Amino acid sequence: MHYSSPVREPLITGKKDLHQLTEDICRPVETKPNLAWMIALAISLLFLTGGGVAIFMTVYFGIGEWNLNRTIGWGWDITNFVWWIGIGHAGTLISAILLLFRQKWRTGVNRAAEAMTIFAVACAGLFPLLHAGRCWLVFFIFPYPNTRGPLWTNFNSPLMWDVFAISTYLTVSVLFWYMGLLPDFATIRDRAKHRLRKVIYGALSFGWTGSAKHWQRHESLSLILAGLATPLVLSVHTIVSFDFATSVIPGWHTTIFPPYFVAGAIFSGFAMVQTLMILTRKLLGLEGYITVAHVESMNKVILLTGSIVGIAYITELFVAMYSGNIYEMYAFANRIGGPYWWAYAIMMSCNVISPQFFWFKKLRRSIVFTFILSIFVNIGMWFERFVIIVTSLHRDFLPSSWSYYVPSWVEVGIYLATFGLFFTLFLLFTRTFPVIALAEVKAIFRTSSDLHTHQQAKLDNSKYTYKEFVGDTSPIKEEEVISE
Amino acid sequence: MSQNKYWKGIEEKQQTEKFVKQSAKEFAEDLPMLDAIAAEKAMPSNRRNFLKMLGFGITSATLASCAQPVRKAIPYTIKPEEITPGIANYYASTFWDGTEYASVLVKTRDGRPIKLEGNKNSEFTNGGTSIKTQASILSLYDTNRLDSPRKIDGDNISKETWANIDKEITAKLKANPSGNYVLVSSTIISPSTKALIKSMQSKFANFKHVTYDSNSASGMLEANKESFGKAMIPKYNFAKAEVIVGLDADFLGTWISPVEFIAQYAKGRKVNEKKPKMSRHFQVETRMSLTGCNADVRVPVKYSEIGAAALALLSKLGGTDANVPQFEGSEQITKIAKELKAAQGKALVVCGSNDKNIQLVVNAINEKIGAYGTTIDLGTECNLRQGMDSDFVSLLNGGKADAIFVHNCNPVYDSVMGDKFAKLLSQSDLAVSFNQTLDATARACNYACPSSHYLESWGDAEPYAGMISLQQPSITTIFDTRQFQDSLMVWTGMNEGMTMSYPDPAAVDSTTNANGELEIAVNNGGVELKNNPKDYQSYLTAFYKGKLSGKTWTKALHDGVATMASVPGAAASFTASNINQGVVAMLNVAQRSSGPELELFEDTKIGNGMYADNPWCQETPDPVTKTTYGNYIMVSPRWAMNNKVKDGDVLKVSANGYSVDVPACVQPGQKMDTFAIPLGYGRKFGGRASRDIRTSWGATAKDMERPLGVDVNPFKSRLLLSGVTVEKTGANQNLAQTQTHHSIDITMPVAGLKEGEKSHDEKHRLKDRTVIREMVLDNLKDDLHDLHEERHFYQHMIEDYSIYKGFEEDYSQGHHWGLGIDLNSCVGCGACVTSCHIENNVPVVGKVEVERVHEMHWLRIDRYYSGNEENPKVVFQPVMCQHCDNAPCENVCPVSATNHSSEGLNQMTYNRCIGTRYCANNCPFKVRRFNWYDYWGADSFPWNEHKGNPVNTELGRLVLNPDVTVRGRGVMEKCTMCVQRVQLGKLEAKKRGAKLKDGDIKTACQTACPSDAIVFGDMNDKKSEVYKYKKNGRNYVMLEEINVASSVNYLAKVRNLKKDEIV
Repeated sequence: MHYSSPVREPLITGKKDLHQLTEDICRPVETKPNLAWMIALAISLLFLTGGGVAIFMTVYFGIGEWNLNRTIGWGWDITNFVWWIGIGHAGTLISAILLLFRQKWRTGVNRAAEAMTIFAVACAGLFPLLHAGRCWLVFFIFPYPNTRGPLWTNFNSPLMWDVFAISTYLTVSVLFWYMGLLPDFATIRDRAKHRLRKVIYGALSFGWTGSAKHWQRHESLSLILAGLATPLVLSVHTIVSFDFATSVIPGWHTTIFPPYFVAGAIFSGFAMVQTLMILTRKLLGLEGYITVAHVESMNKVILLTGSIVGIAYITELFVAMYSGNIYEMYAFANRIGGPYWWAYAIMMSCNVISPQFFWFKKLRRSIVFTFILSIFVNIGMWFERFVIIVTSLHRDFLPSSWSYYVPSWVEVGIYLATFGLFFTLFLLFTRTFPVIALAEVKAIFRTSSDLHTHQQAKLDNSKYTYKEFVGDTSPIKEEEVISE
Repeated sequence: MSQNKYWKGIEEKQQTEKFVKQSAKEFAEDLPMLDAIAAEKAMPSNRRNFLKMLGFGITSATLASCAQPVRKAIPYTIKPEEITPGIANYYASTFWDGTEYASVLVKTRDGRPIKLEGNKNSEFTNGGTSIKTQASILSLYDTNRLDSPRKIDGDNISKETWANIDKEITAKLKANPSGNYVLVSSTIISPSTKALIKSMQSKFANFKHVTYDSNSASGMLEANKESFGKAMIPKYNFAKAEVIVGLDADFLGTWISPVEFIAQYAKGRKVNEKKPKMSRHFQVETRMSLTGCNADVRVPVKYSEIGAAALALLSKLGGTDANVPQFEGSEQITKIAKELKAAQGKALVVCGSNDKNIQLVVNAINEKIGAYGTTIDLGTECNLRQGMDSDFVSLLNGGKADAIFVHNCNPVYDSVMGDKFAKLLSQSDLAVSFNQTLDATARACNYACPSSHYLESWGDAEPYAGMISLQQPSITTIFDTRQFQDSLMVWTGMNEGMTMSYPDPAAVDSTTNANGELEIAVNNGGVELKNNPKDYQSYLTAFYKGKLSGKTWTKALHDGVATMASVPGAAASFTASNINQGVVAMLNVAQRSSGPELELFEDTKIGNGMYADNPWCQETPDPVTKTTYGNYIMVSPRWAMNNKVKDGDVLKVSANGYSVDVPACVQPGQKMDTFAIPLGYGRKFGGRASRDIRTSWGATAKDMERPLGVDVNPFKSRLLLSGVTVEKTGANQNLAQTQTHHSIDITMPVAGLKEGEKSHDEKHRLKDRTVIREMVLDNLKDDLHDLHEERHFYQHMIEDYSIYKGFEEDYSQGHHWGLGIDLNSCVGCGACVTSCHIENNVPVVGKVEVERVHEMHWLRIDRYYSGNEENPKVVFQPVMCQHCDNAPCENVCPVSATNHSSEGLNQMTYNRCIGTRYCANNCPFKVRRFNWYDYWGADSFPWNEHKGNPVNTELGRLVLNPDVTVRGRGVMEKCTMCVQRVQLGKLEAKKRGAKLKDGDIKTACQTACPSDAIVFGDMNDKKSEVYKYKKNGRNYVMLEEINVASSVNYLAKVRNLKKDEIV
């Protein structure tokens, strides 16, 4: 599994050895949190509880607390739902598809990206639940034998498909994530000094001993789950797009939606990974593991998917113009020039124009620029969903029913609550789970290779000498051998 | 307290052994479970037993914790013969509120009136109703009504008993039999009440009756007195007229008798494709009225030019050689005159002006065009407007009265001289109000003696001479109220021995009539009448004895309508000598002005404010402006553009030393520099529905002080032709509109385009929307051809592109319900909207919720403008659930809460609905309504209850229709095509053992419609009306190309335009 390429940059930088690797990655789990982390958690919890009030208002008094109306049945709720689901795409893509494509750089970011996926899907899941007028009856949506009629579900409904798609995706994502965590939990368990920690991490690691059989099963399961998860990455957002594509509403009724949504999801997912990773590497001091090379690779994905999204937007406009269907034409003309023109303008500039900056290597490798741009993409992708949902609904077939929509504070509050939830989970995650897949990173860590002299020249543009890069080659400690 | 020991039975008393043993056990009978347990007890405890016991234990603990609430239901001890729980009874009655009349059937369920239907027996309204008629039933359950008499002394208002009040008032009246007594009432069309008042005049020498109409036709009455020799309104017949000219007369909205006129008007406008012919309607008016919206040609003129327009018309018809001044629109008048001349004897000109001089001119025009004896029947007197403004003025100027009785009118608020009337009331020794609420007038009186609601009262009505309609109570009085006739009879001692000729009791014959019906009423009346009519009911029965032609009293009461045996002739004829130079000069000079002009008008739902407390009236959108709750100022689009005014911008309007701040409503069609504000708002005293309650969570005392809208009566005149200023204040106020200005775009014309050329500008594409179809009579053949071709194209396209060929749902067997709506008959009055609201327990949501576009109407009337903003063409389109056979809502519901019946109905299963709102999003017609809150208090969670709904009170909820589920919050609802009526109709047919006939089932919107624009029926029945609609050449369905297979069939609107008038 040793990875060395004469033409590529090293994936781990800094003066490291395997022990140092373990120390670095386990440090956040084993030390007391610092002030910055505490403040961040406090803010997240504030958002969560503050937004909790909005959730309470919705459940207690009714959807009337939102500003949706007769014409516009979905607004911020489903916009946020699709947005979070989209964000949840990067994790599985990184861990599954990139695993199958043997993209080794994924190991630096996959753990956190997968965690992000799960938390994002959890946030997303909140919206279909809360947006229902009678959320206490949402279990009607699950097809199981019952005594209520029997109340059976409607398998024609894309919302039904959503239920399957998302729950499957969540399940596989959690499994994949957890499976990867097993050896790392074992490492923490073995290093634990406190008895309680030993018991908890011992339980979490399912008795992992690091035997060859364990590793062999682990590898096989990785591949199987990767194979299972790969189609899911494509299917989830395809099915979410069916919520719109199978309807009759102009602006929704579009066959282009599945690929368009998947590309958009990966686009926004990677942008969110960038936002989080850039913060995480800084806050947890993991610059050596999440390097500029990682950032650049992900920026390339953003550039690709962003361009696909851009083409999709233009195709959509062309098709509307070419269709000769007045309702379709009006829907798109209204997006561009109607009362929500500003939303369309934000969407176009953030999603189509901004990723094009990544054609420039210098910008692609700039951490600060990437961070700012990732925020832009996140905003742009939120507006994409808003544009699709709200501007299509607000003026459809019968002009008598046209209307306008601005969210109430309750709707904004629920959105903020999901941010609170997401960051609370993520912050807890950084302090309890290894943020970087320790075992996998070790697999790509060079411990015994030759001097790559020709690569040395490539390193000239980095500030490291070979010695610094490889680190001191002291003997490997026993425990590391075991857990590897 | 007694300490009796009660015993259940002999066993207990005697304490038998078996009883003692039995009573120790909780359950009388042995439980099978106990046996099983006993059987297993022998065995050592094992895992199976443990689980069994655990299961039983948990289940029983759970069951035990569910307490059954104690419900008390008191059944009839002796069930009345005519009442079967669950079966509705209908009683004929009469609606008359002082301005509007309708013969109605009151639907009662278990003793409570819940719905009004038009009485088909009435030749007057022919089953039609209006918004007010429909909504009036809710006033019965209005908690704002007085629950007992009150004694009023300034701000001190105290409850009183009738006995005390009777004593005090009787004493005062007896003390001074020759006192100066006045009864002020709105127009009374009840002959028996009039007789009662007359006999009072014989009792009290100086008893005067003054009729005060807030919406009077006094100018017309005066002019007719000159022209016909009698101050009366003749009977109009719009059905007979081929050319109709309305001069500022909103005869489809508020003028004299709109329900009747709508029916006649619609009859004259039914088009037969084979022989296309329909009446041609010109409307010369200022404000965009409902009538103007329906006109073929509308000529906007200023208020001050109406007189000149009438004069110009007369002059062109050769009736005067006066010099008529020029005004914008003069050339149109020439054209109208030409057509009127051509339609000699088949034409009609009506005028809504309250100016005697203009009415004189109009009378002369009608003479010139031969309207008398053809479209105007001078021989039949209309009683609907009797108030002479001059009578009221002379009362106000006549000085102090000894006693004033006020019945069914609120002049302190709604008269332009309200302050004077209040002063008169305060000066008089005795002022009594019979009004049902503590309104401004009642508060200015000494006694408020609330009259009962009309559904609690006896009565009669004579809208036209000889045409009788009876009124019977359908519920006993809910509050401690007494109808005003009874009060009068008690106070004047009439019930103690009257000087009136009664029928000989011997002549009141025995128990049954020819039909074998029991004549209870006559018998009761007859027996007790002998010397002593106890109350107005007996008086009424006696009054009609022998007066009705061909009907017994019972039969007349059953039918609701009857005719008088002998009608005093009102034969009058036109005398032409009245258009003198003085009149002409007055019209030329006095009426002309150049500044802004302001009209204060009564709209079709709130009227003079009488219905401001009625939530159904408030929530039904105005047919023209689509505004609910609160008034506004209508401004012309050009004026708005010049002054940069948008909808909702608050304008300051000043005139006559009074000013109000009122939000603007930019109204296409409103004449430049003229303004109009609806009356009936800004009342100081009123119920919840007339208050501007801004919080969603219930009204506070402070909220109740804030009236909706502004009071414009203090402008001192209904028509202000000079000295009006209108300016922007910079403030903004929401108009609770259900439809906004967007719809102006729908067929925006494009300048510079050649005929037949289509615009490529996106903005104008709207006109190709396949929602509304219009045709022009002169071009009908081509228009029909175009429609057929287009439909053909869509139908082929659908067939070609279908991927489900051969798998489409088939509804050709059994029933396939559908609606047919004739856009040409629909005048957009909105009666159907209110009727649907009532029938289907549609919640009222209140102003704030309407502003948030949360209104719940299952049926709405879409209004679209086309053409020039300053004088647009208007089309109304009732839109309800289209019951698509390929319903887009159905396949998207994840829980199958909405699905299709085998009879083609799209059904909602409320219990299943979890409220994803996906169906509403996917509905191309946007007819689905979501319960954002618990508007009715239907949920088991009291905190859900939306306190903004003014009907949502214990009393208000009595109006709910028990046949229709009341929806709680979080579920979707929509038109069901009155499925409860469909089921009832099917059951009735089954009981009869006969096949269901077309017309057996009628939807609520259909029965309410005065113009018969809506038909319901089985589309599989080749003989049904709806099938005929489907086969009609003008038939189309909305959005046919998206293949939703709608079951609502529209007939295209036809405008009677000449080819050169097509824009």
